[in-house]
Amino acid sequence: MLEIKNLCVSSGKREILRNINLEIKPHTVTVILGKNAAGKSTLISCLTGERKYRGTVSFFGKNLAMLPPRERASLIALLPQYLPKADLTVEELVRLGRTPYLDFAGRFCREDKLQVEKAISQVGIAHLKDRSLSRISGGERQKAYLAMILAQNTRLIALDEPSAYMDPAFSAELYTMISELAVKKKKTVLAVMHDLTAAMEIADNVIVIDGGEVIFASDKKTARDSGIIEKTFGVKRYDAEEMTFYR
Amino acid sequence: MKNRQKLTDTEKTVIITAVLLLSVMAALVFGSVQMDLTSLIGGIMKRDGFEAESVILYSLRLPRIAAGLLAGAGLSASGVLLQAVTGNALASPGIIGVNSGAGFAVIMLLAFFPFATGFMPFAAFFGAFIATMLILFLCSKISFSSSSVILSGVAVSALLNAGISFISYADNDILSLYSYFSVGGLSQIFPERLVIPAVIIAFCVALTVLFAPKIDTLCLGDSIALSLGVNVKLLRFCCLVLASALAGAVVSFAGLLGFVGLVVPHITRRIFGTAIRRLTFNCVLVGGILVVLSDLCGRMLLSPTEVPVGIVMAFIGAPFLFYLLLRGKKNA
Repeated sequence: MLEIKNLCVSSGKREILRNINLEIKPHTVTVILGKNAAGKSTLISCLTGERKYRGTVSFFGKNLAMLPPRERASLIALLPQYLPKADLTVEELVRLGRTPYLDFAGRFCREDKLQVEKAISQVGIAHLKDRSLSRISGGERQKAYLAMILAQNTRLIALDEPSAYMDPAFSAELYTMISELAVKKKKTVLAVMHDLTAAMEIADNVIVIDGGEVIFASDKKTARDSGIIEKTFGVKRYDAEEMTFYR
Repeated sequence: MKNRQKLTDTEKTVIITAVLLLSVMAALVFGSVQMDLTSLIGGIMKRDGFEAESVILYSLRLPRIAAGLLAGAGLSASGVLLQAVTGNALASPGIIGVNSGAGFAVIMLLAFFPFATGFMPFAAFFGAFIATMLILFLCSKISFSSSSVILSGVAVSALLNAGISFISYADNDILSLYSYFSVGGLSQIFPERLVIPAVIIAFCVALTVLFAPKIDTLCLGDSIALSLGVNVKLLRFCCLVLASALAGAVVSFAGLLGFVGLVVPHITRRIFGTAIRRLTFNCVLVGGILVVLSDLCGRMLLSPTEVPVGIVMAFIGAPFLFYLLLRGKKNA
């Protein structure tokens, strides 16, 4: 379980996140919603140690701030918003996902190779593995990075706007993959999302952040019934068969 | 249509090693005194009747080739590290102030201890380290981002170059002594002066190869590198220290040899890709080829007068820099 207690993040005199308290259950998909500059990405960046914060963040009882970077990286993987077009092939990128597990000499063992192959085939980019990142589409690059964090094989996966560069078909494929990560692979997924309809489709739990504070944190049904999404984003809800749309 | 298969990395490395061996052979054979194969073997084996060839080979050409190989290896590996750490394709040992630091230390030595020219390599080495430490100190006060490192390097270089110009203008004798060192050359190489730089270069290249998988993550940006368990600040610090040690070691015997650290990583990256381990290893070979052949050109062009290898490198490096800038503009 991911536990966040009294988390505060400041930048100079400005408080970006104020007194955040959250409990995220294992093997679930939790989506973080909020307007631009609400503090969603900042919250995610605290998990990887990129941001300094006050308060505690612990994962299965381990205080993340006290963990060495390698151990933290073997627990939590991050897919950030900005994905650089590094001068690497897709396979070289995915191999970097094994960095936390390499020995002192940086050798690749059988298990590492297996995880890389598994991640590439899981995301369905085996045909792209020798292609350069600069010569594939934005959506394919997003998939390559997703394969990298799958190769990292962590219990918690944090995704910051994972479908930002994807067309609707790619996005749908990605959302199915995210749901399967929690159900089949027993991963805990924390995803920052802007697509409210997709978020409500894949989420088990919903967190809404506004002005650096958590204004809502509960399961999907409560989120739908409470009308928090309509109130926060000024959208209308449309129910059609088993889907809920927000526009 | 003919089915052309791509060469594997191992095959490419074998070809480059063969080219390196041919370059070394050429540098042994050609020069103001040409040697045929019999003279070369006789000279190397120190056979009777080949005393003159033996002296030329062991006193002049072999130390010079060894210096060329070391200079190529050290500066190229330094360039690889700096380009990886700063994320800037134009970064090279000169950029972070290593050359300026070395040059400033040498000119200070010449100004205040003109009789101690034998200490020039050590002064260069010391100056390079002090300059790097100054840049690291500045970065520690700002941040270890790639732009901070470059800007701190430019600032330190500007300051040290101003110091060099000030002292040079004050004393014309120093200027003439300094001119050879500032161009970079391999004509005054003593084998015993190569031992310490060789140990430093071998050690630093080995560490670079060891840290390579972690250095690879830097091209993904600090955020992703951190999430992959890399201590980005510490790694960047270590890489800068390694890069300055490599460049400082070369400057100590070859002077301010420019462009090798810029040109070689670019050429090698085109052949082998960006993975640091493969790149560093092959840069060591390609750097050796480039410096040994450039030095040979310098010896042959106006024979018996020698053109310092630094001038030949500038003729190769400057157009290459234009090419990089033009390509960058085109890509942008």
